[in-house]
Amino acid sequence: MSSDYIPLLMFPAMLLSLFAGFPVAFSLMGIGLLFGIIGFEWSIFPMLIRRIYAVADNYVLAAVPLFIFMGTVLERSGIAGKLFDAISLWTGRLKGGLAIAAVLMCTIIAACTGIIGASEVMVGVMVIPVMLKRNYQHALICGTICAGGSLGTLIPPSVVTVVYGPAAGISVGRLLIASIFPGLLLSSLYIIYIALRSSINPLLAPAIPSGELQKPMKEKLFITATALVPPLLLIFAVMGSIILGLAAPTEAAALGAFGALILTAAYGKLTMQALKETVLQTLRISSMMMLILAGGFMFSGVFLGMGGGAITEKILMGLPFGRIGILTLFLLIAFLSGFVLDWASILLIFIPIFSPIIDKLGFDPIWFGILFIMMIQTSYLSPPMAPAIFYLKSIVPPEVTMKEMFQGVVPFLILQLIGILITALFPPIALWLPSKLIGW
Amino acid sequence: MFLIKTIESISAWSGKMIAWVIIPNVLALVYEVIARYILKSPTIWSYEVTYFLYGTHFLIGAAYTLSTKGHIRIEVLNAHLSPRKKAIVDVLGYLILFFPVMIVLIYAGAQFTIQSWEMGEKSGVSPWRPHLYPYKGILLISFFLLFLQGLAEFIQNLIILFKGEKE
Repeated sequence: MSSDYIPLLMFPAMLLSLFAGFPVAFSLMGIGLLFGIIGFEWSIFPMLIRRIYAVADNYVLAAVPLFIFMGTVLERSGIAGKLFDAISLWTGRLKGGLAIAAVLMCTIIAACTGIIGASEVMVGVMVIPVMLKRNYQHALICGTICAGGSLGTLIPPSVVTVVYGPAAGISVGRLLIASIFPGLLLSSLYIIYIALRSSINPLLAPAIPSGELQKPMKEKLFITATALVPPLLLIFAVMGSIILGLAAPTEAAALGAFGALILTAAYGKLTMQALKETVLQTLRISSMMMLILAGGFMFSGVFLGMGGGAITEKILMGLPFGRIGILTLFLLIAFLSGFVLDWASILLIFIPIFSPIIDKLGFDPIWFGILFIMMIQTSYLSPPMAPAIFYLKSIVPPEVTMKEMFQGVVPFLILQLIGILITALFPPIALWLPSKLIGW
Repeated sequence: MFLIKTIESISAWSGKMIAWVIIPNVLALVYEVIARYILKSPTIWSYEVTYFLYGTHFLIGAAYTLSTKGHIRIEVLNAHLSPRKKAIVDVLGYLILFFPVMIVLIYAGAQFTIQSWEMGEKSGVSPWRPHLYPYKGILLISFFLLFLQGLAEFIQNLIILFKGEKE
């Protein structure tokens, strides 16, 4: 084996460290350093500092903690309860209506916040007890809440997208705008699936007797308007200002966080204690995520610097797959990694290696980015390393079993793959909107 | 143990302080948008202030995050390991990966800061052109805090390893 292949050894070394259970961020940094010394001896030291500094002086990445803050503030605002009251008024009488309401709530909350998981807990806490009371099938409840929660990965704003941009060297704004329709596509697929299954077998998700939700139309409209207007304003403040080109994503994130603070204060939920807990929670999530990012930058910097990119390309081009084959292989790698790795590791390890090859093969980098992020969203659902199930466990009563949780996510995993396939076959789903906007 | 307690309280204190930085970070950016569209006079400092605050926030916060077990691990294969075996993983991880990285970052970070200071390096992005050495110095402090907290974690793992339980 020639020394060209040494960088490839970084992968087994890193997997060893990750699977032994050492923190992800320090594994990436440490393996980067060890191989960096092999490749560059002592000149690796200033390079590593520069890689961290490239994360620390990155204006675009400054959006990440702001989106996290926005999410943690909104978690306490109580908007989930108001949304649920309003949406279930309209969908409650349908078979599977509560599950459909849950997906709609998740979609709206995903469009308000950038973090994954926030919407799952907010919506789950609200909707699961009601669904249990109405005798919804446990697996369907679990699948719906997990899948709904995963929407935050793709539906903009999303921290995954904000991190993807700098890792792949493409515009975060474009990527955020491109992810709007694919995100809506997925949530529509979920709703269609729930509606179909519960009309075939109403025992899975019985409709609420129509008498219970009877309210005068005027009152219904009032409840709906008061519940929907604040989140819609937030969505407009963030995505609207990005789409119209009024604000950079980082500024939009700050506007969103500011709006979330005002909204929470207006609902009377912004106590000093709540704020204290929120800023600490924001710090922990941000710091965890940004350190993985810094580690990922160090790891990929060493890998590419040692010629790992060139050697990977040589190996891939030697395979008898063709360009579609290589694209499929990349997505397959992301999918399989999703079973065992967290999203940040998948993104930061593979994207710096894949991106130049994707460019060379002539694929649109934004389109590939969307497909890859959809795959990351899938990884959020795929057991055993499924954050979706981890969050779910913390909010369901003990009568719901692990088996039901796993069973529940499987159909939604398949829906994910269908959504990815549709976006792959019809690229305009992702690329049409950004192409229509002036200034992008 | 006195050393561990001291380090833990430094980490906790630094984290609880720095966590609030997110608020001025939000306010400064909101002010920039208002200044640009309503006051018609954008600030000259928004770009640098934003990343100064953001970097200070997550880097100084790293030690606190470590002390509150916030840095995620992949717990697929190691979930069933005994506390003692987990402690072995951590001891090895700290020795082979964490400490070398932190020592390198502190050493190279110090050079990075001193060079910046000697050159009188300024940011070239905005007309404000602030000096960069104070920010690079903050990076250095954050690596040091993280190193300290790592040391505390390492010693705790040694205690588990040799005494079989947490102190």
